[in-house]
Amino acid sequence: MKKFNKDQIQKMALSGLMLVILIYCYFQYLLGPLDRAQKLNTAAIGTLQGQVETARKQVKLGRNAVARSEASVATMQSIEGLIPKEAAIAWFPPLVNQFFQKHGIPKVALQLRSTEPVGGEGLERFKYFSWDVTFPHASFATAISALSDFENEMPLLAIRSIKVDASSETPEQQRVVCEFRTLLK
Amino acid sequence: MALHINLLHEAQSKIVEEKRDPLKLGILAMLVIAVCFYGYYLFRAGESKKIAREKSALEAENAQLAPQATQAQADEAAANLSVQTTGAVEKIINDRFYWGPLFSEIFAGTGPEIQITSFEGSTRSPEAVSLTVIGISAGREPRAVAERFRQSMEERLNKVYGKVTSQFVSLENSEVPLVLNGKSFAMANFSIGFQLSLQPKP
Repeated sequence: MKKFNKDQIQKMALSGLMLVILIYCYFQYLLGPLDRAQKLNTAAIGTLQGQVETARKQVKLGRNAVARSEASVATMQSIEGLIPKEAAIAWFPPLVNQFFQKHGIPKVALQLRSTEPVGGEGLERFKYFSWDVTFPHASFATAISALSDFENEMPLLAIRSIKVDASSETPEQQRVVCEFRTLLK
Repeated sequence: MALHINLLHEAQSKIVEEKRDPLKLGILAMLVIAVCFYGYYLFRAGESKKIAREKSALEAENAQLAPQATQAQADEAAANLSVQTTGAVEKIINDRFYWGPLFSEIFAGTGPEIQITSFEGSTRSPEAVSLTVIGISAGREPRAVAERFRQSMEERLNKVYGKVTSQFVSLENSEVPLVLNGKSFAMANFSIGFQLSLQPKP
């Protein structure tokens, strides 16, 4: 076997050293940063994909919720349309008087007893108005029939209590006392 | 046999040595490796660029979607509140107690031997209604008439409203008899309390 001389060994060592330097530089300054950047970008893509997916879902949810609420908005508009913009004390007593006069009860005494908030999220703009209503002279049957019609025609009204007393002096004319509670703004 | 003498052997071996120079061979090998490395680097750089482009596209999409998502979130909250509010108002409307049907039942269940002189009803919650019926019963046994009235009324109201309980608040014989068509009947004054426990609406 041929033996290498000193010069050849030195040259081979030099070549090996250059190869090591080449490999080091390649991985350290070229492939390494590229690899790191690629890893960072891949991780960022994962995060971004999650964010985009979440955003897409949120947009879809928002659209669905808005579509779902359209019926509610229309219902609320129709409910709010039942409430005049004026103060309740200005329009509710005349409305009650007019209604019961039409039903053959000429005299109705009506007094605002109290107002209280409805309570609950989204209902801050609504209030309960409690009214003391007295029919001093009314036929029991007429009053009850009129009250039934009134509670049917006024969806925002609830009759909280009714008291009917037969007057001994005029048995045909009873005194009817009620408490109305209206849901108003 | 002819004798060949190579006088150029030294020059020839030098040429061969030069051809097999380790440094030259090493540089050649390194060049080959460097070309391969560069090729691989270009391949990876292309891949990396593709990923970077994908990232940029996603960033742009995200930047576009983020305000929409924020708006959608606000819209969703507003829409849910609207649905909730409307539901609450509808529940208030639907949970009202209607007195008309109750009066119809009382009218229909009151016989000729009973006269109601006073009636008091109240509802403090959508599920609980209380009423007190005060009246006069007449007959040979007016107390029994009043009891029959209580039972029949309870049964009648039970059919309509579910759980109804009733009890006499008072039941007393009246000293004054009732005279009708020349006949005299004993009378009793009664006061009956009814409690209607309504089924909560879904």
